Amino acid sequence: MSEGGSEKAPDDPLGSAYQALKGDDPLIQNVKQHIWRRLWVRDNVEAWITSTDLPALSKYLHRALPQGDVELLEEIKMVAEKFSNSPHAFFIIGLVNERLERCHSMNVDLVNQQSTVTSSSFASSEVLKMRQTAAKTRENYNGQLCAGVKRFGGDWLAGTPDLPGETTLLPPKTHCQLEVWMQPERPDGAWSDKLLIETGREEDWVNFSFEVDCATLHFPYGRKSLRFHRRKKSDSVIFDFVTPKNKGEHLLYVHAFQDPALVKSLLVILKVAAPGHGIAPH
Amino acid sequence: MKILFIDDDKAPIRYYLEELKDAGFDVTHCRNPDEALDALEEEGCVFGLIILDSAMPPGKRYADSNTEEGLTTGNFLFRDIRERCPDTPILILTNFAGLDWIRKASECSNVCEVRKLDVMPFELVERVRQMIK
Repeated sequence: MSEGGSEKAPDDPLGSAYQALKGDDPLIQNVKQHIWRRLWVRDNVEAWITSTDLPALSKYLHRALPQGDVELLEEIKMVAEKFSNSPHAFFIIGLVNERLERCHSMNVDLVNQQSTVTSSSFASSEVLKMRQTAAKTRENYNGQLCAGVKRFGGDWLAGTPDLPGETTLLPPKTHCQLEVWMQPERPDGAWSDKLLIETGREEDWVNFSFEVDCATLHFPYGRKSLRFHRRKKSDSVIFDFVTPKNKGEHLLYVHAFQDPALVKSLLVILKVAAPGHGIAPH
Repeated sequence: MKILFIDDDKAPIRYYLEELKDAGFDVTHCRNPDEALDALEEEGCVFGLIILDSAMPPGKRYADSNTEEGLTTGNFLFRDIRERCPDTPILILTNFAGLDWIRKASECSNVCEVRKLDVMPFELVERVRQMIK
């Protein structure tokens, strides 16, 4: 099963554009990355639709589609719509719509919160204007959304080169802190995912807020914010939680927002050891 | 250094191949498990690194295995490669996040996972260099 698509003709404009761009200039690298993601969508969506068994695809597709990248999700939908008679395409479009709906509802929630605050002093047209302004004020960023786990007020438990997040078992019944931060380079050992915003304003200082969503562990409700220089590692925001007493895996999403769109969701799988295993609880 | 690149993809994998070759690596490209295992049987463990796609057609070797229409062929191939060449670093190239077999494979010190969406060809070259240090 091809994960990519058919061989493209030499006159493939997207591929040619990618190859024509040379050099280490950050601006060029940004453009190349933009094209690369579009190449990925074009070739993979076509391959999923034309060459994969539907039951197998339905099992794995949710792992291939991006979580909170609205721009990329829209692009995937657009490519799938070209194959609209195919059940595979219907399936992909359905799944993309679910993800887009989720992004949309999270954004509406936030805008509604802002509206509630402002409704007493602004007319509705002014609130609308604020919403429109918000959409235009995104700040460009190219880096990594990162997460790791520390013992409450103490040392790292997972998310360092020695204790990689993917494989390290957390001790059961332990008060922990999920640390979330941003940095330009991929971290060694921490959970991370690339976050690229290139349709906004070029600002040295950028603002993001973060929220944690987990069905099986309790995290405090609410969003925490960071302002940092986009070429440097940010400070961290911290979300407290307690690991359960039993062995198991817990999926959570760290959602990153900007202005007030959901711009990235980082999947973190926390592995909790059986009692008496993992790093000893204090 | 010789690199074995196992991926049935055509585009945009060709950009990865070009970038690796431009960086001076001697790349052997195999498009399915049969070709890859033949190459290992003929040449032995001469490759300094193996780049393995997580999903591809099962070929004759895994035709009777449950590869879920090829989506988990990489898992079968990974195990066979490790058996033949246990010390060769393997970089697993994938489109899928959080697959169990990749997570388990990545627990080995000389195995790492790279998502195609996130890693442009020049970045793959950097990863390769890091792995063979």
